[in-house]
Amino acid sequence: MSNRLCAVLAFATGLAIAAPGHAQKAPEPGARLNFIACPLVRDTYVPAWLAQKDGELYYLGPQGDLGADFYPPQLGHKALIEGVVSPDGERISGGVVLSPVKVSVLPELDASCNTILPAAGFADPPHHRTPGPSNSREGERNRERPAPPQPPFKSESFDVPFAFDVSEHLFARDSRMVSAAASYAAAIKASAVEVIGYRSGALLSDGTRLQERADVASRRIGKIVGMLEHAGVDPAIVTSRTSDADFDGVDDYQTRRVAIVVKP
Amino acid sequence: MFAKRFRKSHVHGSLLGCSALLFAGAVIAAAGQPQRSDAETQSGVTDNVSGHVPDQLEQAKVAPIVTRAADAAPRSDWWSPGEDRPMLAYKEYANEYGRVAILNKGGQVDTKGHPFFEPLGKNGRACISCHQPADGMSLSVASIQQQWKATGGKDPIFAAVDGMNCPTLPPADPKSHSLLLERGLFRIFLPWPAKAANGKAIDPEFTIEVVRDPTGCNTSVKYGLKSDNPMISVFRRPRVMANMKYITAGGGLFNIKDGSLMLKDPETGKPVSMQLMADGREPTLKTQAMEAAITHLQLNGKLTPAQLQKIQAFQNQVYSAQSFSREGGSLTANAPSALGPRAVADGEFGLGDNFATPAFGNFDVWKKPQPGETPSQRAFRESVVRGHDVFFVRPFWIRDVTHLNTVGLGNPIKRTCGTCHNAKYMGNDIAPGWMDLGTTNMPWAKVAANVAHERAPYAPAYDQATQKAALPAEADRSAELPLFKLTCKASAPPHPFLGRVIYTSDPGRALITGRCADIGAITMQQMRGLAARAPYFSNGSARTLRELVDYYDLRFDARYSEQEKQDLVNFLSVL
Repeated sequence: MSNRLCAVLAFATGLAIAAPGHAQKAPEPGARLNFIACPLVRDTYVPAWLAQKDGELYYLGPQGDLGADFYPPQLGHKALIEGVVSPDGERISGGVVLSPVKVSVLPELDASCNTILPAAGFADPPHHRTPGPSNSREGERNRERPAPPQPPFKSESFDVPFAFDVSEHLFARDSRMVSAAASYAAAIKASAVEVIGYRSGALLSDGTRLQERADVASRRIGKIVGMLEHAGVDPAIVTSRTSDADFDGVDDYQTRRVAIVVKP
Repeated sequence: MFAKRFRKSHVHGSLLGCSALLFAGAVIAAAGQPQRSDAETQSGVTDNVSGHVPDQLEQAKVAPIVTRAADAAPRSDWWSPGEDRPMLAYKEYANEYGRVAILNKGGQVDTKGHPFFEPLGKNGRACISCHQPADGMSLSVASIQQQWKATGGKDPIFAAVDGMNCPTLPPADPKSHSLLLERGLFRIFLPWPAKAANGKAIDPEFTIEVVRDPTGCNTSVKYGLKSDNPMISVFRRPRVMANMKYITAGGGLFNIKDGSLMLKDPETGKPVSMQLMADGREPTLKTQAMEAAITHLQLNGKLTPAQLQKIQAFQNQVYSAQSFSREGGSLTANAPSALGPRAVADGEFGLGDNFATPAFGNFDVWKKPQPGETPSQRAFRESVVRGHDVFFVRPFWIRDVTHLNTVGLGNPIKRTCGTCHNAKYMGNDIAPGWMDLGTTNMPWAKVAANVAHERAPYAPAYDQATQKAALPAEADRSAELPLFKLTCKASAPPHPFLGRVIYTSDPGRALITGRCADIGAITMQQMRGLAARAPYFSNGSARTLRELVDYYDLRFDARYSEQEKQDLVNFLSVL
């Protein structure tokens, strides 16, 4: 089959990428590194996710599950990677560790992002579960919900993060923030809920400024308001507005969001 | 909490008190892009009639009714509508792999006058017509063919409305019923553009063009996409109508896979599992029964609340599972704990993707010889144990599956069958289980339909490198189905793995949501009673369990050995 051929090609490509001596410039420990690249995945028993920039390989994180902090990128798409170079220069699976790191899968397809690197003798990355069944019956979907809030009640803000340029898709952990906001609104009998949809961007390490699509903030509002309504929040108490968020290359992923402000 | 760094703020003052529509209007004015409140379109089902059903009713009303008496006496294992015989509390039915058992947990069912068993519409069908006990409460193509021979094609299952490739075709001609006779497929007709639960039209993210229309129904001036009542016709297998406590359990407010809104039960207002149908369009057993009565039975009206209640009560107490293996012997005595219908009836819904609570329990009891066991039984049981292990613990790369590789797990992900087939006792996905496995979307749909050819020592049905078909058109089983070209609008996100132009024989969930990301996403089935109900996948592309395994092997390059494949087949055959 042709995907076997792809695997062979990936193997060859992987050898080239994994080979030492290709790094053009050693990354500064502690430096922020924001770039767009094809993700790579290493075929260790527990796969490791990597990306290459300027000839250097960077380690993003392990394959995990929905309970993990790190959500991997997707082959077939470029990814916006925003991370911090590990202060101690640690390498995992051949890559300089970025931690913390956030990955945004860019929506459009890119067929060139198709590389599975061979294990090449690398050890499994640190992980909390293997590719086999979980050792715990408590999966992400069975997690306990937070206890109901107790008075005195105060205005509370719930941030719902979105991937770059994305307004429809939410990960489960992020949908849970909407549930939490709706639950809080119900518990405190909220008088008002304000939904603020942000349009932001990303400042790449090479100085490029990426701006999200013009309508992304209003689309995000539509998504979140629909979810709140579905969760039982009275539409009569909901207001919304869009806002442009500044971004400066420092944790820009935090600015691509919707804020739900629940007021007593 | 995230840092908040605002530069400027545009207050739209879109107070939602008036209506969501007004809200949408405010945003349109502000941002120049259409918006909708999904919550508005996810509720609003009244009288258990979903928003798309009235349009279906109109088509069902114009489809011809051909009433013909059957030529032959009914078969003993076939249940005809209106038969005056009780459905026993427990009964086994023979199949290729042994016997499937139907267990009525509430005891023997008096079927006389029962709305599940009575012909309620104009075409003489009942619910039981397509949910046959001998076929594990689904309908096998073997049964369909036998019934064609037994009745000369006059059984109500061959009704023109959906038992024909298109109602425009001449009745009684087997070619007019080829998709039903050869693949076990019924025509599903859905309004396009899609209608929301409350009946409002949904603005789809993509356009649809008919590329190939072998049945003639999608280009029909009476039944097609450009008719006065625009409908798209796709062709799907009847789903299993048993073990419903598992299928209807679960479900939160939001789909954990993408944050979309889950349907709610119109009677209770609570979110539902959305696992009932291939495209998740009906929220409850009652709304599903209502749609089925109107479309499949051609009921020109509504089921009464009493009828709905009785149908639901029956569905909630009937269980199905293989009970005896021809090669492995009893599946209910000294057998793995999750086998047999009693285990299913007594089990509990839950997540089975972990070692603590494996989906199908453990198979330890068959790891050691049993008293009185024959050598062939021993060999078979050892094979089943190995097959379970392949299913549950053997990883492979899973790639380009929307609603799996898009949920935060990465693409590809190295996991096992049990990652997706994670529901205890059932092996479906306890999250909403629609995924693009590739069985309806090109290019994999062509592979799925021609697995046997792919396995033969000549050119593949579809060459991934050249993107061209290498299979003669006359030999291409995928050509039996319609082919649509779907083009995602520039304003919408593309399909995650197929981009902006997708060729598909069944857009699946996208026919309900209008979303590109849902194109080709089909809700996976439960895995019980598989031996009784070939063929498999929503479009019947896998004729046998071996073809099913072969497709997964090809689709994910799992590189199963011949032994592993046979072990998997044996494992699947005892469920």
